[in-house]
Amino acid sequence: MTKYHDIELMQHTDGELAGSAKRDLDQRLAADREASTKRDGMREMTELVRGHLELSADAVPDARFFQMWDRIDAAIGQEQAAAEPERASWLRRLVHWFDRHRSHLLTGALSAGAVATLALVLRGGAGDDGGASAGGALKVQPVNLRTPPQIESLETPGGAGTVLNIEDEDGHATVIWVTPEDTVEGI
Amino acid sequence: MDCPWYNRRQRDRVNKPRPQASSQTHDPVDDRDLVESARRGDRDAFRTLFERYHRRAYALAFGVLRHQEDALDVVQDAFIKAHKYLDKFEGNSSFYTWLYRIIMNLAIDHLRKHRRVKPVELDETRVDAQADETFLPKLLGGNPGRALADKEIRKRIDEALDELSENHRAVLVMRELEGLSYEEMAQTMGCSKGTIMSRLFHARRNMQKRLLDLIDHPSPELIKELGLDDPGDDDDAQSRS
Repeated sequence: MTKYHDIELMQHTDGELAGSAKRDLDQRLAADREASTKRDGMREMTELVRGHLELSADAVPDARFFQMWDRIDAAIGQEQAAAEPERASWLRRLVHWFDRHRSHLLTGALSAGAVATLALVLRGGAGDDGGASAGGALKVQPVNLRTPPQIESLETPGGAGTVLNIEDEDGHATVIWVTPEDTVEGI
Repeated sequence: MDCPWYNRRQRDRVNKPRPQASSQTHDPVDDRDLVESARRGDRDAFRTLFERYHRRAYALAFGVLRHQEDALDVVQDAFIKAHKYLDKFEGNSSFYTWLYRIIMNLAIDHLRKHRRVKPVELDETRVDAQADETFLPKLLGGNPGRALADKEIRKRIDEALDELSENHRAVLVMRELEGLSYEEMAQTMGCSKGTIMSRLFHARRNMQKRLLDLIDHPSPELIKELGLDDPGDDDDAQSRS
């Protein structure tokens, strides 16, 4: 068994030792009368100090604590009253700011409303275009190609007619050539 | 003042039940529920917390400060501060644990502000320094309750507490009254565990020395009160000598 110091005995009595250190002192206290009486002396001191301070507290008249509560209650009341104007001042500042900017706010609100209405109207119109904008994706419409007129017959009284269809990279052209009958060739 | 609202308010104030200062028994309402209600502005809930803990709080403050008026001021400030910062109480510990920390901080601040004589203390960082000093065996025949009925004993305890340095006394009171661990005391006082151990050791040893002086020269009333002439206490007397 190792020799102990009183500071270890104090730690043990206060429940601050653990593990092997605690086990060593447990054995020591069981066998060593001097150590156990010292431990009892420390416990006695604990009882004396605690009992003495509790009795000192009991000796204070109730009236002192009644007065104390009244002062605490008053302090809490003042604290809460001080907090109220602070909250109120925030509200007042908000109202004041609104008053100063009322015309700007109203103009802004009216403009925003007009823009929103216009957008809704335009959006409603877009619904008729075959749903081109409804789904968000563009729907490509087929383009109708212009086809040249087909001339199947040509009546040219008193003459003869010829139809020429010419096609090149610029497009399609039709030429109608009419020759009167009384035309003398060679003139 | 002839104002119905004011008169009604004054009447309510007078009729409001007073705190039960002597009662420390807890009713079924949990502290946490009371704290919640107090946070929402229920002053009666906070008053119930005050009623539960004001004397215990006072004992702690008085143990550290050793002055009734100062201790009452500190307890009052502690409750006002506790109410102000109720929103910061997280509920990880009990309400009283939170309150005693406020009390200890205020008490230590008070000591620092009103310190008249700078206390002389031993080198508290060296625990080994106390290795040669020893505790005394029990002095009062194993009946501290009976001893506390004696005015001379209580006077001597008062004197012994007064003679301790502020730091030694604060540690002794935290340990003996509240049963705080060394680690908790170290956190509260902002020092190491070794320093706390050293302070506690010296405080207890000095308290014992002071009481031993009384026991070695007891008055006839004390001998009768404590039964010091009882042969059953001879073992203790021998081990003291």
